[in-house]
Parts: sequence; structure tokens; C-alpha cells
Amino acid sequence: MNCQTLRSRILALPDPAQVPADLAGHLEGCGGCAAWHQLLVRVEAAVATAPVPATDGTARARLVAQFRTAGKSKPKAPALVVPAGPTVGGRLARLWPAGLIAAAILVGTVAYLTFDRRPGTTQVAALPPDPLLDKVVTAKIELDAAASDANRKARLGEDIHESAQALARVSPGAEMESHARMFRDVGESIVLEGKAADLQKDPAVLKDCIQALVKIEQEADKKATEAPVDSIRPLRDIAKTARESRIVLAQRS
Amino acid sequence: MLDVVSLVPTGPAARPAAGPQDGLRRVTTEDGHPAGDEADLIRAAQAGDRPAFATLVERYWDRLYRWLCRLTRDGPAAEDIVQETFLKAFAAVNSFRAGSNFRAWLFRIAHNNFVNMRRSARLNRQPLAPDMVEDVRGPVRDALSKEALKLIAEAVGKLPVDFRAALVLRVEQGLSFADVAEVMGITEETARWRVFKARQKLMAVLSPELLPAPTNDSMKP
Repeated sequence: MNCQTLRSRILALPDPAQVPADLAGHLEGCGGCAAWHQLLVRVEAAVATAPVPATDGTARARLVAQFRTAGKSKPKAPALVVPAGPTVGGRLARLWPAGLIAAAILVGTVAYLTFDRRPGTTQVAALPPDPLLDKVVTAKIELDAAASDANRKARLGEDIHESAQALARVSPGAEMESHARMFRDVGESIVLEGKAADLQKDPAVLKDCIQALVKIEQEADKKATEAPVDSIRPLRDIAKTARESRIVLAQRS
Repeated sequence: MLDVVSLVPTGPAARPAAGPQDGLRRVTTEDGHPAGDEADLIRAAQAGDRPAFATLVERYWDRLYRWLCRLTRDGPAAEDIVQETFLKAFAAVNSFRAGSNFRAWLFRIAHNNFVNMRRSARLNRQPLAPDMVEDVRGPVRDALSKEALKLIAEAVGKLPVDFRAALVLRVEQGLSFADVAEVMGITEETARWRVFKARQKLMAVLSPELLPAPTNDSMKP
């Protein structure tokens, strides 16, 4: 065994200080490798014991005290901690998906009260213009109007996925699950439309849809590696839906 | 000026020296499963026992903080991430599967938080370690000069963050490659490769500085 091979094998060990017998023989007879190995072991020891800045312990004590004094209760999500961004605009950019959900709930409630109990009134029109509300309404209209257009649904799927990506950072949990379900519905719809599409008339339709789904799949998988724990599974679900949908469409094309 | 915590390693580095060659600490692989009392604490926390979770906070705070300090090079930011990690961990403690590795699960949450924080560029990076080598004591200080420790700290600080994170998880926290992979959301092979590359990069930088000049016969063909 030459020195290079030996060193590579030592670097790959779980613990370079614990050298197997077949490598130890080389170290005993090779002064250069023995010195190199000794340095590696010392470097690792230095890494393991390097000092870090001390804190006054206040944050730790406060958190421990909060848990100790709170007694017994079901674990529940803490208050949303939104990192302080450099600008107000940055903070708003983080929060818009949550606002979108809130707007969706608001518009649902208003619509229910308006159309179910007092048909004919125009209270919704009296609300001030709201860009978030507009986005929800536009998405809903697009979904309803896209009954015969697979491309459009693919675009809508991208919209939902983009929204889910942003939401994953600020509001993991139930909202993300909801987004994943919404995406699944759209995915099924894309597949149905893709199967029924007239390829003679529009030969590029399947290709476009597949490309959109591939992009969604890749981005969702990537985001899942960085997202908060509660967002990981919904993002994986989105990626899975996109993957399964594109596979079905690819079979037809 | 930042103070320096005492050198009481919290990971496997804390174990007494056992090696035949240099008297330094040995990293040993832990089985990764919680000890009996820890499993009880986790079960209690899952049932809503908040004081039980407080004990877990006390147990893991320093380990998380040390690791995150290495990643962020920013003490206050590391502390923020630790706090956020425990809050999220408590909120999600019911999703923790009994029998799996609680430490890896917790570090995974911390890693996600770190990635999110890095993306939002909230870090105020400082060259932490090189300024603090004066405070290194014990067998490591005996074996390496102050200058050597400074070189090592600088070299570690220059490693790409993913390599540094994997190396410190393995070397300081004593996580297995499988657990490093779980924490960082990568495959075990990638974890192994990152640790390998981190060591290789460190040695490539440090060998010319800290080893005697090579002679003609110092490398066998």
C-alpha cells in the first residue's frame, strides 16, 4: 500500500485515531505517514475542543423557566417567530402567503354570509381593494375556467407550488398540508386534461405540462431539504404528485 | 469582547484519553438511541409534560449552541437559532418516533433553522475561533502551539459551511455518518464524503505549515 492510499483510507475512517491493523503496520514503518497521522488526530482534537463564545445564559434560563412553570399541557405550536428582516418590505414579503390564507378565509366567510343568507346584497363590493384577495379570486377563476386547458392548469400548479414554497418558511403545518392537497387536485386534473388533449391540434401541450411538472418536482424536493420540519412532508408530497403526474403524461406522449 | 466558555466538551471529546499515541481524546460512535431516562422524558413531553421538555432543553442546549456557533460564527445568532429550535421541537415533539435518535432529530431542526437564517442573511460573522485560542487549555493545548491552534481555527473557518457542519457533527458531537446524514438531509455516503473532504482540505492546508519539511523518501510510491 502506498502512502497516498493509506492517507485516503485514514481520512475516510469514522475516527482516524482508531486505525485498523492493516493500516497500523504501514504507519509503524513510515515516518512521514506517522507524523501526518499524528497531526490529523491532533487537528481533530483541536476541532472538537475549540472554544465558542460564552453567553450570559439568560435566553436558556428564560426558556427553561417558561417550560418549568407552564405545567402540563398539550404541545402546541409556539408563536410564529418571523426573523427581523432588513426592511419593512422584506417582512411583508415573508408574510404575504399567510396573508393570502387569511384573505382566503375572509373572502370565504364574507361570501357565505352574503350569498347564503342575504342573496342580492353587494357587501363584498364595498370592501376596499386588496391585492391578496385579488390573487385568491384570480386563482379560483383560473381553476374554474381552465376545464379544457391542461397548460393553464400546469401554470396554476406552478402558482400553488410557488405559494407553498413561500408558505413553507413562515407557516409550516396545517396550511402546508392544505397546499399539498390543493396541488394534488390540480395534478390529477392536469393528468386528466393531458390524457384528453387533442395532440393533433396542439402537439406541444404535453411537453409543456411535463416541463412544468419537472420544474415543480425539482424545486419542491430541493426546498424540502431546507424547510422547517412541518413543511418537509407536504413539500415531498407536492414533489411526488408532480413526479407521478409527469410520468403518466410521458407515457402518453 | 466575547468571553470564552470553559473547555468542557459536551460530545465524545469529553471522554478521557484512551489512545496509544498521543494522549488526546477519542471519538467513539454512540448507538444513537436515547438512554432510558431520555426516552421517558420524550414520552412525557409528548404527553404534554412541559417540565420534562425543559430537562431536554437543559441537556441539549450547549451541544446545539456549540455546533451552531461553528456554523454561524455568530454567538447571538447561534443562541437565537437554539431557542427557535427548541420551540419548534416542542411543537413537533409528537411527530418524533420512539426509538429513533432524538439528538439527530433535534439537530435536523436546528440545521433547517440555520439554513433559513443563512438565506435571510441575518448573520454577523466573526472570526470566532482564531481570537480565542489563548483560552484553549488541556491536552490539546499541550500538544499544539498557540500558532498551530490559530492556524487550525482559521482553516476550519474557511471550510465550506456544509463540510464544516458535517465535520463538527462527526468530530465534536460524535454522530455516526448515518446521523450526520439525517441531520443534514443528505445520504450517508454524502455525509461520509463531506467529512472526508473536510479532513482532506484541512490537512492540505495544515500539513505544509505544521509538519516537518518532507524528505525524498517520506512518501512511498
